[in-house]
Amino acid sequence: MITIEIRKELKSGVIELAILALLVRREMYGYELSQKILDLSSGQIEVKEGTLYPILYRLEERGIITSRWQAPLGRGKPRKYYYVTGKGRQYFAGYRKEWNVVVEFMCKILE
Amino acid sequence: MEKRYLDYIDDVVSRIDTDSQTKNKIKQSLTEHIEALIEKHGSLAYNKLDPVEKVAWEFSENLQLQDRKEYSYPWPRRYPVWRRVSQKKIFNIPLYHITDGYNPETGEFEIARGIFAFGPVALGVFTAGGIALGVFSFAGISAGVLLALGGLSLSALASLGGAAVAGLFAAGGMAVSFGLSIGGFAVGHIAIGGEVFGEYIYKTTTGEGNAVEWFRNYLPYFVKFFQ
Repeated sequence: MITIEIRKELKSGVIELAILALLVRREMYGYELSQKILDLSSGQIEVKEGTLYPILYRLEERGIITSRWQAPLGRGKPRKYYYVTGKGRQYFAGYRKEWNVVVEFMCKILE
Repeated sequence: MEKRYLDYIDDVVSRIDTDSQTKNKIKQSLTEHIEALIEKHGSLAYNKLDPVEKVAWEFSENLQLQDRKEYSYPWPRRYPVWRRVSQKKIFNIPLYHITDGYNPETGEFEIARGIFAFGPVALGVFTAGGIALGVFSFAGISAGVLLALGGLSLSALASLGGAAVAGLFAAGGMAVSFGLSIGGFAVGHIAIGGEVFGEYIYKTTTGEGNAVEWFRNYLPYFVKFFQ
């Protein structure tokens, strides 16, 4: 499967929303998030570490997500799991509404 | 984790111009990310890594370091910015500080300050750049306690340059000192050159002057250079 490069202007908003949508469902660690996005986009959208982590840092600084270190069961190194805060859930709900409006508009205009 | 992965992480982080706290955060994230990659791909994980420059660039772009540079710097930037500051300090002064004059943390012009300081404006012990002030200075305009070299150089001990002013020894197109001056235009206690002014002088154009006597009395080894 060929991955596509998402331009910077699109990337910051879309990937941030995608990350939030995943984290609202359950907590995940960085690499897991990037793999999940790759899987759900059928291998087309690869979020590199240079994109993923700065978004996570920003969301965490703004109190939208938070994190905790957790060692996996059995062998393996501890991982930093991210999850959405109460404030983050509200933020996500608003973001999602905006997104739906934008998508509806863009679908019409690009038809 | 294998050394090659640690080197890779260090290399990426060293290319991102940000504060040490963010660098540590990036280092931690990359370490965790690569560990997960190794768990999944084993020894093939290294081949899955992007080139160091690309990863560093992407971090910089997404941390909005690039935008800040373009916005705040007075002339067009290229990447990467040349800025290295040693973590090692001697008397609370960084061992070295190399800068092209731009501090990405503040977005402002910065002076290189270190034992070894290199930059458009440098301050330290061994200094070099556009304007440098130090114990040993090499610059367009340099001021050195012991030695200054440059277009315009000023020193308590010795200066060499287009225009050199020193306490003890000056050499250059124009040389002025309280001791020995050598140059096209020389002023000093002992002055050697084309146009000379001093107590003991030697005109290289005509071979005239009483400086030879001084050298014969105090530094006879150098008399041969006047013959």
